[in-house]
Amino acid sequence: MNRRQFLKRVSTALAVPTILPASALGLDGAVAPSNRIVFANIGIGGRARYVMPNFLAQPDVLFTAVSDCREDRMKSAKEMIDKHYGNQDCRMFANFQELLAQKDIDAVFIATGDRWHTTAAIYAARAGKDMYCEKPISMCISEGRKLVDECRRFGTIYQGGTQRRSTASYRFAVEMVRQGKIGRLHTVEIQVWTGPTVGQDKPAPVPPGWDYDTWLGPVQWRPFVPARVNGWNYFWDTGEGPIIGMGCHYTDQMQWLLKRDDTGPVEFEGQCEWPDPVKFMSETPVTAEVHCRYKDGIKCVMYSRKTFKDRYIRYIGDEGWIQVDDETNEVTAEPKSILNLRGNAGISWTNAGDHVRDLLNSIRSRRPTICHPEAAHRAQTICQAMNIGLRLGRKLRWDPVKETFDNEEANRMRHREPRTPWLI
Amino acid sequence: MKLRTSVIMAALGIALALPLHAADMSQLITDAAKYESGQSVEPLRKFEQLLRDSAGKPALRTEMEVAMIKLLAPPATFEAKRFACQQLAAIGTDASLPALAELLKKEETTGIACLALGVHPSAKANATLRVALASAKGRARLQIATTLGDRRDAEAVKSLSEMARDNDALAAGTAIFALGKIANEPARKTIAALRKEAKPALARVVADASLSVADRLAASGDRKGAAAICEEFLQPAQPDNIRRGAFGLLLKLEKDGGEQRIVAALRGTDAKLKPVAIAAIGALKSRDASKKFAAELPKLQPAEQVFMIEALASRGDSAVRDPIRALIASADAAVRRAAIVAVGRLDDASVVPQLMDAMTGEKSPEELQDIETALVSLRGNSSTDRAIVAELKEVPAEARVRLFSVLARRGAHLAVPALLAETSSLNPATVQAAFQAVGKLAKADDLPAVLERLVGMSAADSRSDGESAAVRVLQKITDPAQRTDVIMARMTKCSDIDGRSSLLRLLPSTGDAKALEVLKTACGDKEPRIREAAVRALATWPNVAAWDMLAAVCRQPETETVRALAFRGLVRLAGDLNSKPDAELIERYRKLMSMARNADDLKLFLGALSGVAHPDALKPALSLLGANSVRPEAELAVRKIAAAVKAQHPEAAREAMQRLQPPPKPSAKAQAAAKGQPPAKKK
Repeated sequence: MNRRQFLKRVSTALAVPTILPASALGLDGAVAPSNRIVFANIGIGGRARYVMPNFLAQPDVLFTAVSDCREDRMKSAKEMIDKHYGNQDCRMFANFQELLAQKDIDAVFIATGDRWHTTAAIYAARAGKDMYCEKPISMCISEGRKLVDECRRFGTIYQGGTQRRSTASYRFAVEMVRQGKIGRLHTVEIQVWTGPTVGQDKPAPVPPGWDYDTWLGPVQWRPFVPARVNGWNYFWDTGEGPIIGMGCHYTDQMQWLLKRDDTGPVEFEGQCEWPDPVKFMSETPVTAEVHCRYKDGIKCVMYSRKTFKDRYIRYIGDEGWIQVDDETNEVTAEPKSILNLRGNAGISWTNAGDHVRDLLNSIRSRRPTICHPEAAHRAQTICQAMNIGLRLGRKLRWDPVKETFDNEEANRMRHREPRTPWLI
Repeated sequence: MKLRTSVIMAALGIALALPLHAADMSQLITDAAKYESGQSVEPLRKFEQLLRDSAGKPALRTEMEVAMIKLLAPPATFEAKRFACQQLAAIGTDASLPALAELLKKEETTGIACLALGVHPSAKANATLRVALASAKGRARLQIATTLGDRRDAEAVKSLSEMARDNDALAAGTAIFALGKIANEPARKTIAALRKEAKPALARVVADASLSVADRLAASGDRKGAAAICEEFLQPAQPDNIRRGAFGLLLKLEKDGGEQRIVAALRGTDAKLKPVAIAAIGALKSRDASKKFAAELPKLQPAEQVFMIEALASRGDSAVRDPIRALIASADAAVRRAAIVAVGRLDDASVVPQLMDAMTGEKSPEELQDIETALVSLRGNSSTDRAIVAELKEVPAEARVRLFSVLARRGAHLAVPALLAETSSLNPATVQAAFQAVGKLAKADDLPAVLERLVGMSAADSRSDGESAAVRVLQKITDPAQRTDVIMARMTKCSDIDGRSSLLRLLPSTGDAKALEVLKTACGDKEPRIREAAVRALATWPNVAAWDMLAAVCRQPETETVRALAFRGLVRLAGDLNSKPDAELIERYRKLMSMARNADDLKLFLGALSGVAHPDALKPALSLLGANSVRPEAELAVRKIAAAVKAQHPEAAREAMQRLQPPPKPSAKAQAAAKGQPPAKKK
């Protein structure tokens, strides 16, 4: 059986995700220390602090260590974890490789800046740790492929941070489309927000308590510029704007719905508005409209426009549509009778408890998570191909089997040479 | 957006739309060469636009590359060079190699040079890197070795093999890693030798490189070579993750897909590999794999059974159904729940009785929820729906309520008659749940049956549930007049007062004129309960068409209850009109105020009035400031209205807000005078 066949099986298996609660695994009471999965955190910014309570709430999780290149954040995370457990046991590691060398740690929760996601994940896999890693999972297509290979090579349980696969509203929408409630699906419409811009700023001394070299990680060196560091999401070296930041959640949903976790669209074309270079130093688009198309004709259009709260995904078929609004978790549909088939509203994506549960079950059972590396990589690839098309200003054709474009420049942009000593 | 885009494009330079003159390019290079963070990025963005515009224009592309090469030389800043390397990564040719070679000589620029060289299409780039590696030191050496590995440069193996034995572990590790990527025969030999040397500091990177080699061998069809490496790393002394990875690759290498190896692992004692083996079952391709491994189920420990159930279920074939069904009755709760979840994914109508049995007895709420979800997910559409309906009469009341929810979530329209029959239950919870399901499932054609059931109800407590369900079904008829017709058709045949009252209360869901006339007539009915039902319906009428009728009731009420109902209805209607604050609305509020009879009425009135963004709304609110019983509500209304009109009517808002100020305190002198004392002297 080749990789594609294997993944087809995996994606079929996960068509209706099994999220067994801790109690189903006999973990509803006090969990013996030997039965706990020992976690550590790598990168503890705002996102990590937001997600962390979902881990701490699991009876079979024990958090024991944190690592960050900023001392202030590391101390703050330790306080949070120690407060939860009522002790002072959480260890701090300025060097995440020292954390990975700890034998008592089973798994890591990676929530660094985007530039570090793949590198940290690959180092964790080599060190024998399973993991949850925030999205986007990579900074370029070749990085994503390496991540997939390394996780397979080391039998790693990896879960991407596209937690909407574990969210009731999104699952309901996917199930309704799969059941044909909107007829034949022909278009997936996605809306992310208008890309922020970052004004010009000069290099400045690195603040005390910052390890800027580690902050950069695999990114080739450039001076410390406060606005660029704080607005890292909007510079190609360190982030790729809302098209990837949010877009990968939606392309992930689309791929999952279509059961195409091992492939992708074949064509990309778009246009965008770039930041005014006189006022802004940021690089990623302000607004954009990008289209892609699968081999069987199913289309996707992603808009980057309007405000943060206006994000949504809509599946459009020849007999109706169904939409999930991310801000409100509201599902709307036409015909409205589709909504009668929904059970309770369930929890929204803001509660990642079910997603974490899926990871913990997989760590025990060694079956792939609902957001396994190949799925995460393919969803991410769609957004990366969109951005490459915008940067080159041209229509691109993509071969999802060979993972190559029909254009040399685009193919060269699949890769970014990492800075040493980081080996990926 | 289009306008902004055009402006920005214009700012980028009209020159881009025209042939680029040498002088323009020269100036652009000069500007870009000075770039440092904090300055305008305009020159850099112009080059990026040039890259976009140069597609299919070789001369322009060459010009672009020449410009980038110039940016690599002094006096360009580091950031300008970095930018040029980023562009060359996409477009660089052999022409850029000499300039990049210069950057490779300096540690501070080696990284950005490798940015351009990592994907450079020319073999000459390899030679450039190899030459640089020979003299590179420190981090530059690591960077170049890494890039040679990424480029899979076979000719670099000799140098990298030497570097792999460097005393510095980081340098050695970098070289070994690169060799793993190259993975040709000489590289494999070096890595094999390093495995034998077994230096602890390099163990992980050697394992990584070795497994990388195994992958390459497997991809090239050399199963034997790949398997030999994997067998080495399968040994118990190896770290768990490396053993798992090796085991996984071995399964793929074997002609039977690893079936025999999986069986051996299942029957063995290796706790680390057993779950990996079970997880791999889902992907086995042999036809009898499901049957073979389902037979292993009873031999496994409960925790392993849970994993096996998941793995078998992921195969999705019929051979696993019976063995998994059997575990619905397992003594182990975790196994039971895994089996229930699995049958939900796999099974059909025939498993319904077993799931029903599972619903009885002492079960946790979570397990009951699993059963409900499994029933919702079962395949078989109408046959499964029928099987569930057939169970309705067999199960206790609590389970029936769950089944109603299941049927609704399945969209089981055929269940509507059975559900309507359930609304005759004496158990209010059953009636409520049945009506909820009816509301979701029933279609327009079912409406006569739903109304029949509604008018025939004897339990007064549950009547509102029936009415809610009927309203939901009515809403599925798009034409309001048709909704009224259906209700009226039933009403003409109904003599029961409770039944007629219910039907009257449905009329607001139509909102059409004919229905309003019916209510008007009913307001004069000889039966008091009908009259009250009509007023209640009017009070919930969806639009202002009911205003005059409600006002008439309010002015000449039959009872205080009826008056209060009518008044509330008027307040609601007025509030609904707040989005269009005009003189007509103010007049409505004026009349409404005149109809208020007590403090409760006034509070309701003020609540609605506070949402009127019109200066004339201030007057009634201000007039109530003196009424102690509603002073706080009046104050709040004044504040809200003033805030809403402030921008358009600042004077009116200011004056109104001043009225809220407490009267100024009398001066000390005046206070003293009032008490007949002389004023205190200042110190």
